[in-house]
Amino acid sequence: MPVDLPPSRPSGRPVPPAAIAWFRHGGAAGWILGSGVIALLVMMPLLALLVLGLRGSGDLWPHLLAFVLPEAIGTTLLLLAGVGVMVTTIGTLTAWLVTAYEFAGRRWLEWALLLPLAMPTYIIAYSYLDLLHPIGPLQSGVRHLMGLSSPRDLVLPDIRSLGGCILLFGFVLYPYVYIATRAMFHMQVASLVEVAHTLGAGRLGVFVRVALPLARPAIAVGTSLALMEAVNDVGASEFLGVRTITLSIYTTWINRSNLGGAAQIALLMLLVILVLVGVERHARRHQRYVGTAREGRRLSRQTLPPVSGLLAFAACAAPVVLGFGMPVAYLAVEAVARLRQFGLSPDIVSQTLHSVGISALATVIALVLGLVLTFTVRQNGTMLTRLLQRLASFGYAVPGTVLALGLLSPLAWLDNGLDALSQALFGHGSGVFVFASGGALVTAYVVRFLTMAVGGLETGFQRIPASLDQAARTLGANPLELLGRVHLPLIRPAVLSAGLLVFVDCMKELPATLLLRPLNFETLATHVYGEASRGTYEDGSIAALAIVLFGLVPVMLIAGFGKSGQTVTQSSLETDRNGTGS
Amino acid sequence: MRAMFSRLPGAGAGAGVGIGASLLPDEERWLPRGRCAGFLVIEQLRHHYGALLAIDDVSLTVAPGEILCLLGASGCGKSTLLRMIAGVERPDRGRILLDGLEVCGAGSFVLPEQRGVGLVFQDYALFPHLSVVENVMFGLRHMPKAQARALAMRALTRVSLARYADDYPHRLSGGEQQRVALARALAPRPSVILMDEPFSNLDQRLRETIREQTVALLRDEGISAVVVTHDPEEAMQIADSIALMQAGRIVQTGTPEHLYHHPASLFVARFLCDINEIAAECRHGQIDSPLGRFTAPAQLADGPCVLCIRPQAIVPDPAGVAVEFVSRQFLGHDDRLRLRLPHTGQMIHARLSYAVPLKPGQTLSVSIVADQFMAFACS
Repeated sequence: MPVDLPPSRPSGRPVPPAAIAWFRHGGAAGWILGSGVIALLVMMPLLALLVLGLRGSGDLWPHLLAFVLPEAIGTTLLLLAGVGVMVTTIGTLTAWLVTAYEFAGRRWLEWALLLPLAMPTYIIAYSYLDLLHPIGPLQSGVRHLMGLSSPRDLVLPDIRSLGGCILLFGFVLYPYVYIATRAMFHMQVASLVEVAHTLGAGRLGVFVRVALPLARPAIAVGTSLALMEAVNDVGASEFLGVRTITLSIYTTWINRSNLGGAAQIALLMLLVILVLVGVERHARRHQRYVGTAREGRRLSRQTLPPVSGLLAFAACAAPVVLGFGMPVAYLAVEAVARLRQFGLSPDIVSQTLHSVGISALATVIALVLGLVLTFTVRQNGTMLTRLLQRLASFGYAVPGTVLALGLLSPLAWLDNGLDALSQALFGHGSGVFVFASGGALVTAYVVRFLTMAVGGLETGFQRIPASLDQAARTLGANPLELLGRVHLPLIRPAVLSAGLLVFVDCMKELPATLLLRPLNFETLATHVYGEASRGTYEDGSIAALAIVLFGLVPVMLIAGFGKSGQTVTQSSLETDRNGTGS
Repeated sequence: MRAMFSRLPGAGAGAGVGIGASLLPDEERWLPRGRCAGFLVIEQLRHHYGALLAIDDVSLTVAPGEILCLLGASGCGKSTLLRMIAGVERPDRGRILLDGLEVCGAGSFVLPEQRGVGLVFQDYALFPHLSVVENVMFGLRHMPKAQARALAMRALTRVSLARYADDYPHRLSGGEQQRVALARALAPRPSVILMDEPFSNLDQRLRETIREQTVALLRDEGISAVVVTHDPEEAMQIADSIALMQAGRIVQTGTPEHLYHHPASLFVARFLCDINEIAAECRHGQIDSPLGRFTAPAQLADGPCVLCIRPQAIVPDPAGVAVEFVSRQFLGHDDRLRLRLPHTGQMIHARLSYAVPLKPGQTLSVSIVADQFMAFACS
């Protein structure tokens, strides 16, 4: 083909040398480096823990092995097994009832069943301890009805037991299973259920033989999330006298001041966590497969006859009342009584400001870091960048106590460095600046809740077709302009909801807050814990109620998202995994 | 060809192709003639996705003002190739030159935002948060806003969409969105425009119209274009030259007529048109087949071969070969006949533009229009 060369163009921008061109290609290197630093930040506490544990605990290990660990491990496994059975039963049953049947109150219950998500485990334990106290309202009421006068005449089973702990955890943690399985049931095609009916299966048969097996991956995802939450708990198990492995880390560290021993237990516990994370990831992959494999007419709800309808209503209402209604009513009554008597104390105001301030700071940092991670993967979706994002998201699985323990030595090291630097520059040291300023606490929040920022932003990014990026780039936008002019305007709702989720979970976080806060720095959560430790429950009711009210925000978000489809529900579930604080 | 490339400036030595560079002070015409008529050369491009060789040693040339169609089935690598020209994907090896400047090669890589290419997508990729005119202005950031808006309006006028300037993309129909995408890609005056299945999201009737308008615009303005399509009829309608791809390689390049009449392989022949494939035997320059004897093409060796005959090359001829009439499909402008060959019993198709009064089982004498056959050796 004879072709004449056109006259060469007047020169524009010079072609950069190879190394610079590589560096500037999609700005890749800088972004990848940033992701690497963030992943390192998240992995740092775990590495520190490893060092701490390997350094040994003096002669404590034989003692731990002989007297502490067997009981702690046994209790933890029993707790996990019990909570697992509870959340699976409540979660799948209620999810099936509200998806497959129509009965009075169903529409209301469908979202009300999410409410216990707003209730941190330490607050439900705190509420029930007072409610069920021998001279508390419930037992007094029962005695009054039976005409008994003294608590000694009627001894009810004590809530301060492993059984009580399992029950309470079950009633606040089942929503994880509920959300996951409900989404799965929604996706099941009507023909499957109809075929099962024509083949002779009754209502129960369809549930057990068709719906449950199909929802198995979702059940596994929801249950493993609920169990991670149970493992994370410190407050509730302590109040209820259940000596879990998490608690033994806490006591080994605080009461025995043996960091090495605490780190050794923590490492042991991370094994449990790794198993749960493995189960969750595996199930999620499988769930995707099941989810995409079917299409067709969705299940339409069958109307239940009045009596069955009433039973269904009762079955769905019970967890809402027990996991949310009763404790909130109790907190509200106590809070109103406090407010009437003493008004709003200045302490509460300052605690709220502390909580809000430090949570807001952590949220902003988590969002910025999350944006770096997700945008890097968007720009350069290689194995490396995905791995970095995955590593940076690992903090969500690490219990607050373990995280605080792991952050201790790196941050102390940083403080020493800062002190020496300040000594050299200004002639006076900076002391323990990182701890005293709340920097340690913010770091812990960011590491723990970065996943939620990443998950939320990722969902936002996924809705933007890749062709928009390519169009913007060929129209002259560099990566930063692409982010500012195209991505950010489009993912603003995702940024907002991810930010809200992170913020609320920071507000609710207890164990890391207890361990890393500056001296005399009280947040709402630590205040509730303090009052509960002293046994003056009603004094913490206002703070506890405030935490629950903040916790309702993500519940509203999920309830709203739930309507727009399975993927959104799934991702908001993932992002709100830490919904119940500590 | 090789000698010509060697005259081009080498790696890193030339000037970059910036969008700014393509701006003329003369704003009177929308696209001053020749401005978007870039000269694109691709040399020995190669790219892997993991173990998959997505692009295998591809070389191509697009002359100024030429429309080149990259044709192939889905997954053959044509879209990957397009993204590499745009710079949003980086090849493992090979060079890309735009107007004589290396934009991608061993030592250099010009970022997509500095490359000066326009990209139009199958899904149009309009920014949903920007109005139509803001979409078109997106690539015109290096000039005052008023001037950018004036230029964008001129581009929108050119595609008859000025009245929708302040609407948002989702309010436009598919065809209108496609024209906005075209105006947006052309507004910064790229040296070449790249289109990825630009018409495939439109319904049949609209597709014809939009295609004609788009091609007319490209021709009027003398724009160099690379259009990716999987539809051979579309490629033949719009292209100056077609590069047919298969499994990451270019199997044949040439004008539509050349590819149609002189396919380099059975694959090319099959891809461009329905054909009847009849097993035959080539001996001493003659092909013996159930449809008669033909003079073999010069390059065909003796031995078993495949005789390819297009349905429309079969015509009734009293002096021809008797075949059995099996059935007829009425297609409007012509009929599609199913015929059974003698001896082998193989079914073939024929297209006849007038009704033949026949009943199934009757015989019909047909022959092949002179030279309207192809033959390939069995491999």
